[in-house]
Amino acid sequence: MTVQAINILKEAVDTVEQELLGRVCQGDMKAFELLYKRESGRVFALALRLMGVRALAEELTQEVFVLAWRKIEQFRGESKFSTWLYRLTTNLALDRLRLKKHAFESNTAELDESFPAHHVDLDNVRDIESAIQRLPDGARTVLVLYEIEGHSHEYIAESLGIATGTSKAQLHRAKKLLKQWLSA
Amino acid sequence: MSDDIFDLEAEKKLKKELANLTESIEPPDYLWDRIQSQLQTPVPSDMQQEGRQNTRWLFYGVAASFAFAFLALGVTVWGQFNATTLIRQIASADRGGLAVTSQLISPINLTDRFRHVSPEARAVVEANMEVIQQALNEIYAALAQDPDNHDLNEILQETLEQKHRLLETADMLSL
Repeated sequence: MTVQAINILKEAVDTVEQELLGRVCQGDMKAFELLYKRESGRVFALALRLMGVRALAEELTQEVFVLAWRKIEQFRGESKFSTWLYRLTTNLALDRLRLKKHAFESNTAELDESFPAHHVDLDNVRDIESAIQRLPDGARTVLVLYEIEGHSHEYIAESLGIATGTSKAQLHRAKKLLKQWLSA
Repeated sequence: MSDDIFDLEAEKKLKKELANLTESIEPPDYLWDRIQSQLQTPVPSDMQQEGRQNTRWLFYGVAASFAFAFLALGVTVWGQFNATTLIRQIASADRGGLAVTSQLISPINLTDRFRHVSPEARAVVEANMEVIQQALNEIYAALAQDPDNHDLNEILQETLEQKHRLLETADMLSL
């Protein structure tokens, strides 16, 4: 596909998005359903990785789209709609996870002792996705935000109300556990 | 030295696995129906009129239902986990804070594990989940009218946390 063809395709996608958003602002639920179908997979993937539990990821995805519908007029079109949705997903997930602040504290040595490998049923760690879901809350959150979403330790620390060193320690812990499980 | 090489290889393998993660995971089909139904939930008129005062009562109602839920859960599944755990749950419920013991905090996957829970325990969990969901629907509806209400936002956080605890309790029962 040529660069010109790609640009035309991108413009067409943007035009459809603008059209759908305009209709959503006027209360068109069908248009919102089309946006949901287009974006829910990525929102749910992020929610599942951050929350680590399918039921909670469903709850979070539901809340994201309900809030998006109710606050759609606050979307000013300065970024892509999908970017706005993912930021909403991350913020709502972090609100939940901040309630479990204890899960992020302690140093790495203590963390390793408090979550030995035998705590996890390795037969159920089928792939990297299920391994991530089985990580302890603190380690999983930092891993997803840093390695998958590309945020800095400074951003993660500020968002979760923890020290930058704690964020780094949690990442170290997450990677150590994943390497152990995946090589078992 | 060989440990360093192993670690380097493991790091490379992990990076590759993370880079290959799928961008999209489809949510269950019923999720859109739930969202649509929530968006169409009418706001109770008494809640609109009484505003902030009413939110406190809603909180105590939800908290009380959970105190009851945890006690009921303890009684129903007495034979499934030891007395110490149950006493801790009751003590937590009595304090009103519904603080969860460390035994309740563990990664869970209800879809895989829930089938192993006894029918009695499952019924209790499901009944209480309905209570929470109803409370959540009412809070969402109230928030739609007053999105910046601090009390309502606090109650939403509390209720979601309690839902999380109930899910974790369900998971513990299934172990």
